[in-house]
Amino acid sequence: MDIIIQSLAAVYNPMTLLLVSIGVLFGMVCGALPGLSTSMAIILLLPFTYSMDPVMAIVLMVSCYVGGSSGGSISSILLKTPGTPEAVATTFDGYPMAQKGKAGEALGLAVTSSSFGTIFSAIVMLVASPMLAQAALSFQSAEYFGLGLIGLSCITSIGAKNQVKAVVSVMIGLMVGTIGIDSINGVERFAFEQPSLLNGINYISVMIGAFAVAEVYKNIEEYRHVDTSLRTEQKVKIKLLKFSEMAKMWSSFIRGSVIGTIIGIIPAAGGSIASLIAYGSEAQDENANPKFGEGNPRGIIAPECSHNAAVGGSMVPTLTLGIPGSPVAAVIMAAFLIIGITPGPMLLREQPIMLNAIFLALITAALLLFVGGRFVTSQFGHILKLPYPLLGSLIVTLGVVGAYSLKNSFYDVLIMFTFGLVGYFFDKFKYSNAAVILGLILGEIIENSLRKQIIIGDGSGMGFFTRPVSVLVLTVAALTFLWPMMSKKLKKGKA
Amino acid sequence: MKARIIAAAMAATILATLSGSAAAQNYPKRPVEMVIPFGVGGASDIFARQYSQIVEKYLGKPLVAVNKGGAGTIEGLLHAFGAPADGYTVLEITPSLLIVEAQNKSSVKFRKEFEPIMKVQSDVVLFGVSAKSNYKTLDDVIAFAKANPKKLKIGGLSPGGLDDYIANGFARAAGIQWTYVPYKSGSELKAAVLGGELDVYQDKLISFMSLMSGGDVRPVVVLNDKRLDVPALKDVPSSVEKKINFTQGSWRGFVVKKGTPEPVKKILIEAFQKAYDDPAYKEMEKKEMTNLVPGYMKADDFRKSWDAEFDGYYKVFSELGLVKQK
Repeated sequence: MDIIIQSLAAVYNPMTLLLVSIGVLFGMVCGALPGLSTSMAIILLLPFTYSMDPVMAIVLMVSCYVGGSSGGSISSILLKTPGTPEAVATTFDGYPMAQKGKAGEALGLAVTSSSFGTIFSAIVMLVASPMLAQAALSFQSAEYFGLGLIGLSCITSIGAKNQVKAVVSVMIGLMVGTIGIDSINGVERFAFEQPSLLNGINYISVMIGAFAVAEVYKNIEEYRHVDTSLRTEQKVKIKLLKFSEMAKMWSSFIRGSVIGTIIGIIPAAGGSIASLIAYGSEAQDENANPKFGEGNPRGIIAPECSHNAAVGGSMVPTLTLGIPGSPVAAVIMAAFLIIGITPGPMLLREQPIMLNAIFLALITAALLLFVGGRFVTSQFGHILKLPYPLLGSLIVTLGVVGAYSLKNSFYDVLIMFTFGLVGYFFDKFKYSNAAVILGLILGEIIENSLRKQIIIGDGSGMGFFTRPVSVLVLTVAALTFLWPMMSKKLKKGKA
Repeated sequence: MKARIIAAAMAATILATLSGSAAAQNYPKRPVEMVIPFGVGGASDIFARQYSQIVEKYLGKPLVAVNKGGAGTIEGLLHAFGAPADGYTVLEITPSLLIVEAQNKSSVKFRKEFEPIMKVQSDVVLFGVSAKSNYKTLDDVIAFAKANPKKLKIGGLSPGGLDDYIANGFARAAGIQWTYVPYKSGSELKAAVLGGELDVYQDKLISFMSLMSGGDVRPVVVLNDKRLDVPALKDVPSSVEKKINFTQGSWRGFVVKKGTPEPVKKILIEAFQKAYDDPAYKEMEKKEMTNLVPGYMKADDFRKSWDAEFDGYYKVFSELGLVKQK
């Protein structure tokens, strides 16, 4: 009880509340700008924390994490430019929804889901941390392989319209993913002696190119044939969904949050994978109205809940084992060490306030996001009222800045423009850009863990079938691959 | 003819001295770029950023951190090489840059093109096993590895990097064979040790301590010539004490491009030296536990140490077949 009161006092004072607001806002802005990731936002805040009380410093960084995870979807929805890797899945339904004039609803929905996911995972973190952390350790190479396959199975839902073209697209993504220094033997693959190709093709620049830049090209093409007066008159409604309407979709909230929390807890797998898997599981329903990929609100709720639930989830192994649960959590852990705190089992024993303080910071940040963020972000919807030539230039500029700032390398900008063209033609001939990105992100995880497991098994792949968790994960992967086809067969059988 | 050449040479020398001292007089006029050849958030990134902040106090102009993490430090190297040698670009270095040169991966030869400012710190590496492991001591591990070559798995980050060198270099010195498995991130690696996928865990001191303090990992050896002066590690033998002559760890230092005017270099060295003596750095070093093995080296000694280390990398990586043939 003492601890609870102490931690309440530590968090609920004006200074800390101010820090939470700064953290959330700064995170959101960085998240919304492509190229400024959440990790970068936290690094930028780091120097200010040196002189702070440790609890305050952690509160600031955790709030920034929450804000950053949520902010990425603003640009996903409005500009089809994911601001952070976590927000890729949000473009699938968020952007079509905004195009239908429902930008405000989409943004409001995204923020609400984000805060719901955060609160959900914070509670799980507080209640079950030590237990879950141990369970997370059963996730090793064999299981990562299965997890990658589950993620890949999303193509059956993303590419529902044309499975063959979706599979071709995913293959292209997987092949592009093999460029660079291979991660097991250090051999150069398809690098052609170019130092710039050694690190491989960065999926974020591909993503900005294939989504945002390609979309601009498409609009330029159509611009002359479209009556431009329509666009300015078309009302961009800044309307929020009512709670009663949202409550109807409760199952998507829960599903997204559960998936996000679990994947967050697994070491090193963060929000970007969580949101893709959550979207994939959500989009299995092909009778949905409107269809997934055409602006279904559930297609926003699931990934948004999921990547923010990964925030709380990823703090579980960070705090209890000293193993960061996501790339951003790794940066927070480095910050812990600078401040002079060693995360791990001892932390919970020696500084019980810390866990409670992080819990309270998560909850407060989520509430702030919910109350303030909903209205702030929905105002961003006005950006769509800009005349397209202006908006298009803005998108390309943001894209260039985003791609460049990944590694401060112009080479990423070239990749972006290349995939802008590729993406344009893919769209035109109904191949799936999303599937390319999926292949690119997951191919690396799948190849890497497959080969590691075989090394660990001294050349044998039996480990995949003798480890219980691995069998479970692989079964789920097989089912998600086959389910859309099976459900069709079943229906035909009935009819 | 001869006189003309001499005159020209003299003119050039005078000009160089003049421009040198002129450069020194105004130096630094603008912020200095600190090139970090690693991504955001790693130990070396955070070190360079923190150290830059202390150097700023003495240099009088800000040091702006720029991450050029592409192509396993090569992009950062090329970036610093492409900038003029005027002292406005400083490059952070670690053993990785020497390894890249030893493996013949970059067209720019690091040792030929850069000059040291100073080496700031060394980071000692420890080997450990999971607390649940059957191996209690280094002798257990070595006995098993001798009886079962290549059966033991040791983890690390990136293939052909420092961790790979340490794993294989140690095995070579101890006369054993084990299998090195590269991981993408420190978190995956740690999870693999605790989950039982890896038999042997290697890490730098501070992150090793974070796993150890919870009782999840048992340290078996410190790669150093003597035991470490840390209460929790006083019973952990050093590699040299175990008759294994291998003490490689990581280290961090700074360089500038060759041809930087001497007076400018002097100003930089002075500022970096003062930062090293600053209590703020001592504090930082203590927190990160990088003050346990001597790392500090003046420019000249630092330069000499490169060649010896380079030879070690070249030897081990040639055996592993990781030196690129041209």
